[in-house]
Amino acid sequence: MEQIQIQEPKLRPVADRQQTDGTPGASDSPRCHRKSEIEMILGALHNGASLLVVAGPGLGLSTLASFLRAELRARDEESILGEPTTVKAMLVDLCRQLGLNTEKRTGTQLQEMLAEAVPARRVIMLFDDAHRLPVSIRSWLESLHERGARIVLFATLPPRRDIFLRLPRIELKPLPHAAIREIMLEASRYVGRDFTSAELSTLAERCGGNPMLARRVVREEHLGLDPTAPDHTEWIDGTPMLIAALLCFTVLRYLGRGLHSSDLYLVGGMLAVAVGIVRVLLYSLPRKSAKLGQ
Amino acid sequence: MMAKTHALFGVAAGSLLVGTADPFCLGVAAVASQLPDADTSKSIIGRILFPISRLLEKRFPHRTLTHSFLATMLIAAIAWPLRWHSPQLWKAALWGYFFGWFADAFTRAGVAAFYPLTSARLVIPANPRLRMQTGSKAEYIVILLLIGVLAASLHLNTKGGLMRTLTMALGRSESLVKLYQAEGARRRVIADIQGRFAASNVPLHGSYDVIEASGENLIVRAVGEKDGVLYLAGHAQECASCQILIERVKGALGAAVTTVTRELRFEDRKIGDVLDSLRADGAEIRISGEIILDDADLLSWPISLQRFNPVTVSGASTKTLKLQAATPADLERAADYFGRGQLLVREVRDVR
Repeated sequence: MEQIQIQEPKLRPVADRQQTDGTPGASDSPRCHRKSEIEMILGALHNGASLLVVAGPGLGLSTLASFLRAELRARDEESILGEPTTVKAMLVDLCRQLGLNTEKRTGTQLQEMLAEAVPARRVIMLFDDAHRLPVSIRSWLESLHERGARIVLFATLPPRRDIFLRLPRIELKPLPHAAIREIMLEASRYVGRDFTSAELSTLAERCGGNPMLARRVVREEHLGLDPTAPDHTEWIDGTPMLIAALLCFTVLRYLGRGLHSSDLYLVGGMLAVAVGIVRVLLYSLPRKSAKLGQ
Repeated sequence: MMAKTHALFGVAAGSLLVGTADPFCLGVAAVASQLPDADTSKSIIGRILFPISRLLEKRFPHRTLTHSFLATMLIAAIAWPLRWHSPQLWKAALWGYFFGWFADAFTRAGVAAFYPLTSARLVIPANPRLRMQTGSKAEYIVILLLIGVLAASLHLNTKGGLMRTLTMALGRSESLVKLYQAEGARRRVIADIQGRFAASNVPLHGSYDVIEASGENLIVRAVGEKDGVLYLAGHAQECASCQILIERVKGALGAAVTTVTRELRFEDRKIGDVLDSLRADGAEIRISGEIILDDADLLSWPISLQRFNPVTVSGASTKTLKLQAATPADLERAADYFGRGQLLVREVRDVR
């Protein structure tokens, strides 16, 4: 039986790479495709504001957070990056990033230490996957924000409440085709396969400007998997438009009445019934499932 | 979606919407339906237009720019010169192109129909599991359906189009009046009438030549009887003066004819001379209009209640003859009188 060898892409977290490579944009680093967003965030931080960066899954929030942190480091701005784990573990991690002693400290003590150090040292707090932050941390962040701390939260479709509602918001848009193409080329180099322009163009239609999906479809194609229903959210349901267009034919009925043409009136009536049937059939089709594989 | 599905979609929609069975028009629709796929060199049209497809596939994802309303408007503008040759060709190109890409909205990946306003993909229906995959069984079922639609459309178009066929199926005289108005100058129009004679209530079912339309009613004559009796036929509830009351009527186009219509005015001329000037060999003459005869006290005109009267007379000493679908023979009684008139003369000749 033929064995398929799957070469896993050896992608390292961008943040790690920045630490070893020095600067973002080094020859083996991925290019940042969200420079304008980074500039916007830096501008806000420069003005002492906090921000919430929102996007759908896979649109590059973590990558943006890493690039932002590297950029802050390059500008000699002190920053800490929090990632949701347990409350205590996250607070310990944040304190360690600031070089604070965390031994034998309770969670409340750690919070107090951070609340003192962050404004005093003008530290910028970044939180990736902020939608998973527990309520206690969100309330603590709210109080820090009120005391003038600069916070940037990166959240995937967060709930409409507390700090998420309070902070000014940036919404990430899907990446343009040139960026998606570059990401796919990069992913294809990792899997060791050359895709033609035509193949990349066809694969790009399954991504909807989503960098995570761009990498995934390249891997799927490399593995020879059948294309599944695309997972991006850039859809417009054309069913109501189709029905509306078909309903225009029913105007014949009224034209027939206005023009005293019983033929037109009768045919318009028949078309109205036909459109009604199509409408009922289309709306009786099963709805799209929110779960994968259904 | 496969190239043949695109072609069938374009041709079937073009045939239905343009209302043509012309092979050249349908060919243009088929070619136009392939053009949206010029954005990938994997397609047939992409291989033919390689430099363009290469350029497009490097800059745009598949099914974006060329599968949009914007591209359709561009094609409409570029193909505009076709209108000077034939508006039908232009419409066929336009509908072919539009349905060429619109068909892809029924596939899993959809089309960026509103590009460049948004890259979001237009899909029908919303559930991706119900949308087609290229080369799937569902696509072959769609191909079969499209062949059926195309066959029906071609059949309808050779019979005068969807609208006419549908209205004909309703069996109303109004539909036949429209058919006569549209085709009567080029073809004989045959009415297959089911109904009854108004005077006797005797049922009838037969084929009649439509001689003329009179409002929403028809002046008809039994097929093959060139000098036969005329009847006014219409629906019972709408025509009190009809001799044939129609229950159901179907229309068909008969032999090709040529029709020449001319207007004739005369003053103080002998009617017999006027009629002599109208006679033409091998042509069926139908006269409508009005003749006024002076000093015609002695002229009497029989009126039939069982057939259509092409000549109706009014007045005492000065008589007014009103003509509708009359032949020169119908006016023989007035041949010796002098009069004035204004006539519309229609000469119908069979094309050999």
